[in-house]
Amino acid sequence: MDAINPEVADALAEVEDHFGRRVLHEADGQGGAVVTIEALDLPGSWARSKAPVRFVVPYNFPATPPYPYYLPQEVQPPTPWHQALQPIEWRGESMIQVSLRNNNWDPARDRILGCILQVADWLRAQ
Amino acid sequence: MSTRLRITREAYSDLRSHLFRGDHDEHAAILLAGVAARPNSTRLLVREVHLLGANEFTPGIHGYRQLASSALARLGARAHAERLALITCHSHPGAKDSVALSKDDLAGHRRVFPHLLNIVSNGQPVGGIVLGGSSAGGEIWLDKNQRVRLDRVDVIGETLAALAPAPQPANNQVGSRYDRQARVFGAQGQQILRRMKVAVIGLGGGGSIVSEHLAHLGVGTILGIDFDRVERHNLSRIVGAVSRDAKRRKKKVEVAKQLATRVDRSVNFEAIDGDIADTATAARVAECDFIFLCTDTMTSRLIANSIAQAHLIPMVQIGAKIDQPEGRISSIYVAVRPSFPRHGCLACAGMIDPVGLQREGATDAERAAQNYLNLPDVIDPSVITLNGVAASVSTNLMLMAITGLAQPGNYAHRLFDARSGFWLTLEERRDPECLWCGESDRSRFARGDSARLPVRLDMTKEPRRRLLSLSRWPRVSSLTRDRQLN
Repeated sequence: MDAINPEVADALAEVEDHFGRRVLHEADGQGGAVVTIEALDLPGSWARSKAPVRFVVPYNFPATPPYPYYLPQEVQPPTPWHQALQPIEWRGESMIQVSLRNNNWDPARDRILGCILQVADWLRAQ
Repeated sequence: MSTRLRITREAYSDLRSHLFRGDHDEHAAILLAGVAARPNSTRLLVREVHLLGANEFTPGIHGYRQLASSALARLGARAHAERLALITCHSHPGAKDSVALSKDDLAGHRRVFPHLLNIVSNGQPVGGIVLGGSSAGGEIWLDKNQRVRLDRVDVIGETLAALAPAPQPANNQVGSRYDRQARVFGAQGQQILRRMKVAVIGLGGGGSIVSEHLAHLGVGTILGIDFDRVERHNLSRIVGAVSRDAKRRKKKVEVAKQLATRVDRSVNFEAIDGDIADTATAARVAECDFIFLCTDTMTSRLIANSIAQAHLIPMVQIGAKIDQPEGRISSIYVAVRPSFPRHGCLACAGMIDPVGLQREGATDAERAAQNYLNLPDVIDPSVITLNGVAASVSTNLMLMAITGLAQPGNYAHRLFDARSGFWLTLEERRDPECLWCGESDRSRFARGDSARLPVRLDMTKEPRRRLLSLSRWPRVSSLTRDRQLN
């Protein structure tokens, strides 16, 4: 857990409390963390039924929430793609960027788990 | 070693009302304070004031009165839990401009403080101070073996005030350089300026003028921070920069230093070629007496605002904005936003945008990927006259605050409409749950060094690690089911 800021560590603990052993994370080198949650449910129209979701909890969390989220390219959403999904290269890998943003994020009251569950709900609803 | 206690005007007023009731008797309180410790200084930052009733400041066995052990145990436990220093405080109602702990007070400290250090037991100091009518003195036990004298109590409000154990030696000599301005705020005001250390974050259009003003005023130490270099398009705005600086791509911080020391060779200009988002730079800002925030990034707003609230340092953020939707100018305004402890917090005022923070934290490639609407990058227009208004008003605001000349309203965020010439003052907004200035236990307010600032880890100390285990997706094939195969 070294090289991760305490607020980021607290956020990771909150995610782990909910998702248990499906959470992997590593320091991003700035005090934040790159987090992967394995096996979120996808709807039947996608090429896969489950997918890992990856995101960065930034070093200045909770002042700003995670954004965006990434899926592996092989999950292939149905065409035409929703406008919140874009194919991109991120840190040397081909991925699908999920551009879901908490525009009204309130650092004093909102929790990281709320962000992630919103993404999970949105993915299920596609 | 200098030791100071900083307290907001509101907390100090509550404390005084409790301690000085016109009954000519002694009364007491306990202060819980964050600590900012540096090699040559300790600042105690009052976060909580606990006023004690007569049942907890009772007639003493060894002296006139004593603090009840129940109060010390209760608040010692809270200091321990919150990682705060514990400072006992009582009044000497007969003292006016000089005050000192009595022999009984000091003997009481020797009996009680070793045990109190054990109760607090978080590495934070304990101490005892005494207030007179317009004076304050005391001693702080940094640990069982190291005691230091309290030099000063700084009261931070619309006007700033300092209480010392005894009147400072009068020095009415200001010299001809400062004669005219000293006729406004006195030789004492000039001495306050000379003792100050003021941070200027960002030395572009606004910051370069602020820095020049501070040098002219005779501020003792200017801490200038900027990582950027002068370019040709800066020459219309950066005071002190000339064509040669742009050709050589001179650092903005060097231009500001050169100008300040040309104005007054006795000014100590500490130049940091760096970023407020870095731990070491932020720590330097936390040592200052006043902060000018003259950058236009959300990240610097977040960090500077955090420092101001966590370390009880008055700050002013300045900026200029020209709105021109569809190419037509709709507004031209200058913003001057004081962010004093418990007043004008930039987060409460909605001036720290989480979306902007995220964008600034992204790499160029990430920003490009997130700009899926292909919106063009916008180069903000800028004019030196707007920077000049912001710089002069904000520096004047500091001057009025520190010399005690400020009138109510000095805290107000204000906007200057450059086209009409009107000033608009904004109503203060405060969120009691605010993470930076609020009253909840989560708030960083007055926590000093124990309030972790929202800065990047210092990578010079912590080499960047490669992301090895996550460089590939984890077990994608084993965790997912290929729908087409089923």
